[in-house]
Amino acid sequence: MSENLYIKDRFDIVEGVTLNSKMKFGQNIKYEIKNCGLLWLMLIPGLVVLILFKIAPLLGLTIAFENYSSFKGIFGSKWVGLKNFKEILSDPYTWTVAKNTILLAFWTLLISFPIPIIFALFLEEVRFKKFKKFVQSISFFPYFISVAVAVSILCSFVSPADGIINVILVKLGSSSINFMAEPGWFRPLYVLLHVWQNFGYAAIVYIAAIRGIDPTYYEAAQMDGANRWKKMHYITVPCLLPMMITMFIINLGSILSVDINKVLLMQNPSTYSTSDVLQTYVYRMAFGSSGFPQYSLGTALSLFQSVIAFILVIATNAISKKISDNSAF
Amino acid sequence: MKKRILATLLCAITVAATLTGCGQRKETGNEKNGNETEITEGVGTSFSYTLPGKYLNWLKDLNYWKDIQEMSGITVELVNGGENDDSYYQNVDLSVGNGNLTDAIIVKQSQAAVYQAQGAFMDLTDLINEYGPNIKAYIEANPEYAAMMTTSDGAIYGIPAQNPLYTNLTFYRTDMLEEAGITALPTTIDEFTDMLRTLKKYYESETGYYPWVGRDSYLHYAECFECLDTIDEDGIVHGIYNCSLGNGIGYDIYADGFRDMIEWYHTLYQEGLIDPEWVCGTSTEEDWQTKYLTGKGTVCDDYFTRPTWFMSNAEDNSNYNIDVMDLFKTTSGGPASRYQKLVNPDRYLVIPEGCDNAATVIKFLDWMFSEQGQEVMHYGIDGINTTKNEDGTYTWIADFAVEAIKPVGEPNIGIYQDRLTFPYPVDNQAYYESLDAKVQSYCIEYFNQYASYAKQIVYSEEQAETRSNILAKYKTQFDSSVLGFVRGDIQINDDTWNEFLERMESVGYSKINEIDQNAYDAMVK
Repeated sequence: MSENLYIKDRFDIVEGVTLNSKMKFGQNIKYEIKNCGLLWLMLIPGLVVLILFKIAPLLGLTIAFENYSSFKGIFGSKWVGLKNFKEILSDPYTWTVAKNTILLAFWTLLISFPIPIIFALFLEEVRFKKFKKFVQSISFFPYFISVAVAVSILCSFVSPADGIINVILVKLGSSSINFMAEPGWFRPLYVLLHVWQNFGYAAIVYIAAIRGIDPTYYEAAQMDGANRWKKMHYITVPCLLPMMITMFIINLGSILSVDINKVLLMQNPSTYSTSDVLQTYVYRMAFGSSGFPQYSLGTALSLFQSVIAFILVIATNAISKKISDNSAF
Repeated sequence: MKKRILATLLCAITVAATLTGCGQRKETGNEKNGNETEITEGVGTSFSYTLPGKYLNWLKDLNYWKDIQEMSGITVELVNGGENDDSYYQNVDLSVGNGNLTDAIIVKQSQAAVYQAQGAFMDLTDLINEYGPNIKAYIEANPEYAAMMTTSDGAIYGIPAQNPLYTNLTFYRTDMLEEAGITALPTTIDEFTDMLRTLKKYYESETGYYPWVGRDSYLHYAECFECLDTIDEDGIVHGIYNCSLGNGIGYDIYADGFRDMIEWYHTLYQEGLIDPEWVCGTSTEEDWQTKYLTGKGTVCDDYFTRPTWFMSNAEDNSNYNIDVMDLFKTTSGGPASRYQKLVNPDRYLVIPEGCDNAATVIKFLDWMFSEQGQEVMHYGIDGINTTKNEDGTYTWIADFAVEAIKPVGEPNIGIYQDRLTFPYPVDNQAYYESLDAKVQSYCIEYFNQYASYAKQIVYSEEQAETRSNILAKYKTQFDSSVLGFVRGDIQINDDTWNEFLERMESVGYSKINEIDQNAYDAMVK
């Protein structure tokens, strides 16, 4: 009752038409503070953190348009306009590393996106609860392992001297393979490591979504004689679709991003042809141990990357909205 | 009402906690305007000094650290600028940006030159003229040293630390050679290859055995193939100049010897004479050490004190013995040489503009350059580190083999001219004498015969910036292309070699060479 009063009071909805609430803006503010003041108060620290540490630092992107010097600062450094972007985009090597980045991110998305979904779908079909919880917990552990340790584990597994994979290969009559030195193996190993570390964590979102599906759907399907596969096909997956689309759009935003820590740790001269990506190129330029750091060039490249990702996310969201009425925003 | 008050209080505390880390830039002097400040009259009794944490901890352990301060009459407050080298220099950039600098700080040469030009660091010329007579005398007597710290318009932007003269050398397991029946040491690359083949054949049953193991860059002996980066007698720069160290970067790729060297490495790789994990870059330093300690490798070409380190760590094996072999002759039959940089480009001491203790810093450094200061830095304290004899020579009390392996935090009476402390003139003879007996037995003769200081180049701000950008992509292309040849992924023939040269040109080989030439010409003008 009070909620309805609140709504009526605010918007004076008459015959489905909302009156212009701007006329009552000042009154709205008073009303909000009086009735929801505590909620707004709770929001303030988060807003302050967001503005100070996420939004305000975006002003630092200005250094992409400057010849930035730490000493002169943002306001003292010389403005060079698009010079840094021209320098990067006219460099043929930029497109080589961009290609590597896109391929790596594409394969990561292609493989790592469906696996948590499939895992969540099948895990929720497990009836033995203790086993289900155990599997979910185990799947979650790799997420907490640091990248350096994870890469070390990978290196141990694939070591040409005494790694378990090569021991098996040798026993089967094959010669050992130095996987970490083969450019063709870099992407599969990267994707494998990424999937292993992240699928448990990513599955949580889908598990929560599955558990949020109205059980009456399953009851109705049960009465209609649907087996588990049909329930999964006709109920679970369609109900998960909005979440899947949202997560896909969000993941697509990182099409030009890869985990630089993982790449740097796995990378070596043998695999540069496939492992040298935008982020490692930016890292070498900005923080290379020889000479003077080039923060401007590094920022320009990162900004270019972000703009492309932004366009992709907007475009994908629009297409998804048009085709399926589902979108992230 | 109580809830509202409590909620407001919690909100305020949370916001305050969030903002605690925010602070204003501490303005020190006029560094933002780049104006020169007047030299502080009078010398103080203390100053603060920022250096990497590793060296700070080593410095504090030295017995003569307190003596240095007493003798110079100046107390130094040591400030840890960061534990490892990369993070330290990044912290320097941040500190320059926020103005949070101590009275003296160690920076890279490129940082010293660029930030001094922008007004962050002082021009030390007037200070040295007034408070540093010993420094001034040394600079005037050593023009090459002076060139490394002076801008084109005569400003001195920093005082660099020096390196003692040492290079890598080739060492081997004497017991393994003896077992394999090798009696004569190789003097040429071909003889070395044959020796590796003999070792491979003898130890082929050992799983994971490769005669030659190592770490970091595998492209050694460029000096023997006469394809090192050099500056010839006419002042022409050959290759990408890296002070003739090679070291994975500096080679003259157009020299005939460079292709010969790559073909040689291909042979070594194909025949299993060199550790493939090392060549491919998938081996760590720890892997290398383990392999060498456990007999999975026989020969190394590495830092000259490594033989002692390996023998100290192979205590379980009484047969484990290492000796050093001479540097091989060049492919044309002449003697080869190895090089070292006199000035360490990563260790320049600078003073921020507007520093109140600038004169104190220069006075302290001047003491380092004085006769007394040099004696302490080369030979330590009489009666503790060394004993001074009547004829002017020194008898060493400190045993390098014992002192060098002491853990951090334990008092140390060793003398370590190769460790960063402060800039001062090094004494190579004293440096060699400070080392343990085993190292001395080979290094003095080796370095006297094969080692010398290379010419060094100083770059302008623009040159350093451009060179750094080009190197960022050149190095990866060079490494992967050369590795392709070595592993046999690409057959070495005239066509593929020309393609390789074209690819190196496309990623900036000649541009870097041109920058090096222009920079060198500007220095010698």
